[in-house]
Order: sequence, then structure tokens, then C-alpha cells
Amino acid sequence: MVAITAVTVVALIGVFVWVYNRRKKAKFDKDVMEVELKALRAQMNPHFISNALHSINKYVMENDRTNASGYLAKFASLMRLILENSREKEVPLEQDLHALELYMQLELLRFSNSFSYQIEVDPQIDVENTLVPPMLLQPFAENAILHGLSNKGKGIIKIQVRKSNDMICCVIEDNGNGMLDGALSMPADGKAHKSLGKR
Amino acid sequence: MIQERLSIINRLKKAKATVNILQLRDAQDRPGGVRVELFLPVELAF
Repeated sequence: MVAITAVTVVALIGVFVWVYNRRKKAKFDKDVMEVELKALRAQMNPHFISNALHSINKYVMENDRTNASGYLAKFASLMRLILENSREKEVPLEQDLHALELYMQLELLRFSNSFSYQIEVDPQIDVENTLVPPMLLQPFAENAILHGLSNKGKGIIKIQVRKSNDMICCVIEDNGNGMLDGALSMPADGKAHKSLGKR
Repeated sequence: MIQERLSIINRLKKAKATVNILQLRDAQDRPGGVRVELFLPVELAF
């Protein structure tokens, strides 16, 4: 009887220790992933910052105080938003779109209005209370501007945010020359496959 | 970097955030732009 009790107690302690260690490891893994995410969010495009400063410098050199001041004000607002957003795991969609809008305005000034853009948001989406990971759209918008500028006419960039079942679908489309090597679809699991779309 | 972020978000939230990049073509099958579709899980603040 004593032996059975002792074995049961040892087994229970063993299970407890196993569960405890497993939970500890899960928490550690989660903490590591959150730190990685934070580091990635903090790496906001250094070349964008450099480009923006060059543009401001250009206006200063040309003594164009109005544009220099306007550009600097927008740049400061965007930097503040980026710094705020980089500390958060998720931000309201409205705030992320505001940062994107500021970014597009800055690029529009930088490229002397050689492209146009529109941002459309499905009115069914509650932009104040819908949370999204910050600054995910900006790199795609940056690519779209570069692609759009390769168009012989005026570049057009369309950004749409709509609901798609239980997801939010953000579409960024340009009218440039596209990718030379054909289309590529890259799901988040890292497996790429080719895909085509018709205009 | 986006791929890496989405991958971590998916693991943390057990979500299925994906990004599709499509080459658009005109009627003559010439490249006519790029369309990026980013699917993110919906999270509400309340």
C-alpha cells in the first residue's frame, strides 16, 4: 500500500514538473517571438528615412521654404507615428492607415507628383476598433511606387482594405511594368508558388 | 522581413496571415502592374 502511494506521489510530482517545464518553455518561446517581432518592427526602412532627409535638404538648398517646411512637418508626424507603432504589437487600423497616408504624401512630394494614389476602406470595417500589426502595408506601398514609376504614363497606386470572411484583405495595386520574372505568390509559410492575374 | 513578421504572427496567434503577389497582365499578355494581397486576421479592440 505504501509502495503504491509512493509511486503515485512520485508520478504526480513527475507530471507536475513536466507540465510546469512545458509551460515555462512555451512562455519562453512566446517571449522570444515577441522580442523578434519588436526588433523587426523597429527596423523601419532606413533608406526611406535617408531619402526623406535628402528631399528636405534639396528643398533647403533650393531655398524652397514652403515645401521644406511642409515636408518636414509630415516627416515628423510620420516618424512619431512609426516610433509609437513600433512599440505596439497591434494598432488600430485607422492609425496604421494614417501612417500610410503620410508616407504616400511624402513620396508624392519627393517624386514631384509623378504618380497618384487612392486609399479605399470598406465602410463595413470599424477602423477605430480593428487592430492590425503595424507598418505591414508600407513596404508594399513603397514597392508599388517604384513599380508605378516605371509606367510610361502616370503611375497609379490603388490601396484597398476590405473584409474577407474572418480576415482583412489589404490590396496594393500599381500600373507599372511589373516584375520581370513573372508573378510570385509568397504565403507566410515561406513556400512560394507562381500565380497570374488579369487586368 | 515582412515574411518573417507574418510567420511569427502566425505562430503567436495561430493565425493564417498570408501575402500573395500577382503579376498583372493586359489583354495582350504584357505585364501591366503588380497586385499584392495581404490577408490579416481580424482582431477587435473590445
